Amino acid sequence: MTATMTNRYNINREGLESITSKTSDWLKADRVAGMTSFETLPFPVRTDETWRRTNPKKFALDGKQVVTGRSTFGVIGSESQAPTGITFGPADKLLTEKTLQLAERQRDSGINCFASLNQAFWQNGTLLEVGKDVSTGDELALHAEHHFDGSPDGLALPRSIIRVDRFSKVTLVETFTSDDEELMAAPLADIYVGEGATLKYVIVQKWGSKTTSVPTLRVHVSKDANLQVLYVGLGGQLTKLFGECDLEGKGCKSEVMGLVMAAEKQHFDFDVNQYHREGDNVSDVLFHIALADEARSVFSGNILCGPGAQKIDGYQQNRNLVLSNKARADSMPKLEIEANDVRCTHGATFTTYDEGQYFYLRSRGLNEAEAKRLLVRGFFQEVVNRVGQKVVVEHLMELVAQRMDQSLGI
Amino acid sequence: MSTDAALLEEVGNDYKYGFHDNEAPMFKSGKGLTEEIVRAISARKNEPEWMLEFRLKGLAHFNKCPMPEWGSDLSEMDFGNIHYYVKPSDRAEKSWDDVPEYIKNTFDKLGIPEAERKFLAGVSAQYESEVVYHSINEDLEKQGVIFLDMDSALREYPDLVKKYFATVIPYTDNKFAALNTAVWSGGSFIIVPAGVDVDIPLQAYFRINAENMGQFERTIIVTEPGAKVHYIEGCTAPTYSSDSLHSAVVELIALEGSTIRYTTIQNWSNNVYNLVTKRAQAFRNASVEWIDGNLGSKITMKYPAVHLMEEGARGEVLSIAYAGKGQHQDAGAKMVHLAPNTSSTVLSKSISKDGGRTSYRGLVKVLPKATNVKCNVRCDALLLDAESRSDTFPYMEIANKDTDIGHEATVSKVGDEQLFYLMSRGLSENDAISMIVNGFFEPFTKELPMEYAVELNRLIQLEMEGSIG
Repeated sequence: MTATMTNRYNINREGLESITSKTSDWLKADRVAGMTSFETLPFPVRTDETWRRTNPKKFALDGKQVVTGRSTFGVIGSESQAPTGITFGPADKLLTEKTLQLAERQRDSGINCFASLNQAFWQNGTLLEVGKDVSTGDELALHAEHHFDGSPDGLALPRSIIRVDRFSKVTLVETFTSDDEELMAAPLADIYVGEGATLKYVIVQKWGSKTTSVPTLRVHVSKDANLQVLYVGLGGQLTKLFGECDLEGKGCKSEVMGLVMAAEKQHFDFDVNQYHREGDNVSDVLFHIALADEARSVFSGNILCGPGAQKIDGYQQNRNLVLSNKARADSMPKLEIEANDVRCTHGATFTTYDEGQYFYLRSRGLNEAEAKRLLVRGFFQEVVNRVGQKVVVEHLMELVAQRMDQSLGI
Repeated sequence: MSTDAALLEEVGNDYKYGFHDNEAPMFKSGKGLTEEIVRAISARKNEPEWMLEFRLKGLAHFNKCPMPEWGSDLSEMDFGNIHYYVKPSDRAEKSWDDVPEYIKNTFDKLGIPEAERKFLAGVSAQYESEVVYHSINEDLEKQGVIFLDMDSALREYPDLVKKYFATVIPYTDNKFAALNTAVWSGGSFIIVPAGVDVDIPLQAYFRINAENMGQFERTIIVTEPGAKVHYIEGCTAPTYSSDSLHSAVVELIALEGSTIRYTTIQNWSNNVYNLVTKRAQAFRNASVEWIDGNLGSKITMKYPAVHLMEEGARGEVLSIAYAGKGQHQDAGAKMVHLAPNTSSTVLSKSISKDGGRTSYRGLVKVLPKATNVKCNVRCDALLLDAESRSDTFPYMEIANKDTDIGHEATVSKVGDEQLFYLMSRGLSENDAISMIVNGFFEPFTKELPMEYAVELNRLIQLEMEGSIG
């Protein structure tokens, strides 16, 4: 399945009109709501706390035009067809009113002008709807890939809408790519994980070297549900990610992970918030970031626990492997706790290669490059292993190996 | 006296002797802050011209600088409703016998034993903005240690004061440092000559006693190469009805191979805004330790900093915070590594109770040239009930690969197992909680001199009373 059109739309009411003229009323209403929200939200400035370390001017929208790209949908792993009860494909063709409503439920977090802009103008994207009691099994992961051709005024707005109903279990890998021309991207993912359901969602960011992206991820985790998100940051020039997880039910778990191999002058900035809106649940954040050359990373995580959200277990860890003296890593793992019967912890580390491990590998006959490579690989493997599914782990480690060949020169 | 008073009476619109029953200050400036008041303070102290210029620059920056919008809520603070200068008697007293009786009574309430007063090296007691009592042990004088209140130091050693004043914290640093520069009075000035190890702690008791009266101490401590000193600042304040402001500036300079330990126990009454700037510079192989206890005040914003300037420097912050009803303790630490082979440790412990709020706000910064840096940060918070709140805001900015930085934080309640065990051994729930809390603060209290540790444990016990039910 491919969608190939190369339309362009201006970011204004006329541009919106040319998109919505052919769509259904409910979708039009949603896009217009997004536009209204976009028009009221101020464009971020450097003095906003979350933008202090990444210049919002790099995401200036003046003169930008929304472009369309190519999306392909398939599977990773077993050749057999995905089980019935799953709707998976291009969002612009398959989206239904009910699923959109679920995605656009009332929220007070995860609202920013880029997300609203995406809601109004989105082109391309993934729809995944999984009915009750459906499992894709361990041998299979759904895979969507979106590619955009770059152009200096191009703005890519892919949107992913994922809804997993009660007691289902599914894995989705979504890959974003572009060529080495300039491009700006503001992807938006709205995820609803129903009661007792399990979703593993892997985002592979392989943008071209001149792409700037400002993705927003908004997740609703219901009672007893299990969510696992893994962001694999490999490409792009500049990335500023907003991740907002609402733990809305008891007994649920929200696990947000990141794996980043940054080199040259790449800049990654992560702003990840876990809102415990109910008690008796678990949040877990793990970001492993390796930095070579003059790369820079910012990790800002927050566990927010409202009054009454008792007996929660919040964990947050950010590990930085600093491989170059010109690299820079900032980390701000925060906690805001208003309930007393909780266990919330976080940790952050900044280290270079472990000398003991390095010495051991050398003593076993590995040369300098092999030993270092193995250590970096191990650093990533720890995160990837958490996904647990063999087909996905192998797929990701292959991508990581390619990226290391490219960037580490070891 | 009378001419000064007349001069200042024109400035202060509210000026009256003894407007509070228990107060007998010889002079009290009017409320509010104007250039006239700053000039009057400087003129009254017969300060050199450069200090007046400094004060005016500080005032200009203070007026220009916006109120910080992060951290605690400072919106209720009214700068126009504060006395910026109060002086109880004309000169610093030299002998204990000359100290006025009512001031001695205050110290009695603080519980300093008679024998200890004689024994202690130098008790510089800051009562109502200015040091009134100051005795220096002869041993110290022989060793060449300068231990004076800041005003006397400016008179006796103007060149030395000029050399170090505002070199660590410039008046442009932040709004409250600027305010302090404009209206400072009191504080300690300590210089320990090379190789001298001051083996008894130098102590200063501070006390706010007048309603709506600000205290703006300015403290400078310099240790020359190889010297060592431990300075203790302890505060208590009686409760008054309207808000008071305490905004000190403390500058420490530890030259090569020297050690400074600065201990604070802050127990202002629950209507005091405590907005303090504390910073140290540690040079080659020097070591600076901030031991910081925050128990009182309405709002405290205090982030003791160590700038590790040269190789081998070491910084440490060990702090505890207690926030009860209506209190917000926004405390933390800043470690800035500017040179290779430097190390730092931060250990922060906090307890919130009865709707109190504690925050840890810290910074670890490693500059590109600072290789082989080690830093470890640990924050633990205890929440004793469902209304209280605890936040952690650590900032880490690392621009060097050869570093070993670790940060850990936990927030939890008193462990049920611990409580159950202690109660099974026959302790009441109250005693058990009190014991657990004391144990939680143990890493801090064991660093304090005996009398402070005892006092602190007693304070915690008092605070924990009635924490059940």
